[in-house]
Amino acid sequence: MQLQFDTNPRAYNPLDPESMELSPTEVLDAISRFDAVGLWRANLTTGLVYWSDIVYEIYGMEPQKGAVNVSAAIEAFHPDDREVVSRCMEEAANHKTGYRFVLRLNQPDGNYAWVKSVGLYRKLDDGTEEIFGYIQKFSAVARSVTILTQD
Amino acid sequence: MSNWPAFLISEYDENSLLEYSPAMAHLRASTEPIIITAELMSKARDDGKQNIVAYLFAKYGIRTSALFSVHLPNGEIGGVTFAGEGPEPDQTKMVELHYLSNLLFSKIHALRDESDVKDFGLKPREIDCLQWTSQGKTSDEIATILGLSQHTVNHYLTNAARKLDTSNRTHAVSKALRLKIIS
Repeated sequence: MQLQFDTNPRAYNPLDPESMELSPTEVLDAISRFDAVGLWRANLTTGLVYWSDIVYEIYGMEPQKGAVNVSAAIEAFHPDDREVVSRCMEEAANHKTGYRFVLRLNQPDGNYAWVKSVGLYRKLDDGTEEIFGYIQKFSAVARSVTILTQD
Repeated sequence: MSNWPAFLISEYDENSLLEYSPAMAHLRASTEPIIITAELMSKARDDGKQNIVAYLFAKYGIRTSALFSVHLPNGEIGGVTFAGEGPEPDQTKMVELHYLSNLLFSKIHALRDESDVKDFGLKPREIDCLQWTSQGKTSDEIATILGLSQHTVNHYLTNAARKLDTSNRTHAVSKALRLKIIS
């Protein structure tokens, strides 16, 4: 499958939930209710990456404490996609920018699932620089409906 | 890899012919060796550029090509092409060329890997520290594992980042993984 690159500049379009009388929490709930969203961050100074438990779940791994085995995380992608994953983080860490990719992640059943990952740069008040973001697995089928039957 | 003349490769790339190449399509679908004639290569293509292909092959005297699928132990796949103006190779020649294809691909890949590592001048301890960082170990943990001080580990990682021409450790680890300096 051909890889498509898009490096066009993007205007920043911030969500404005308050204008719709929604809270950020409610918006996050809507985004993650049907397809779990895993959160992650990479400390540029230490080189260490941390995942939320849902990221482990998306990878089909047992949640662990401490920093992540990045080598194993990249190896979990389709062989044709691994270099792209490394390159995205490399570019974001170097240029302090961001990326989005949609690539194939190996699953415990041996099949590949499409996952979307977004990474963005941030600098904390104490000067710590990170690339942080989320990863989400596509589980919906085109023209499908999922009804929430319980809360 | 191929024995195509350099100018043919340039013109081929300038015309963006690789994406809809029947040879590439075959490589993606099969590991069987294939003999490709100029006529076959210039049959109708999805990008409509068959006339350009026919012109280029005639210009550079390519009448016949033998394409072989090759792979490395790490799963990387590739293709090796022997092309020329001679007749189609017979079965004996195809077997010889297939053997050569695998040898060539393996040797060239090994040279490329060595070159990448040599060019950066990383010391074994610097690579060790990068490797452990990629596996989620803190400098303190790496110091314990390698029997070094935390200061020394940080020194190795700083040197490694500099030698890799990277701006921070995340950049260094990502680049080292991509270049297969660490795995």
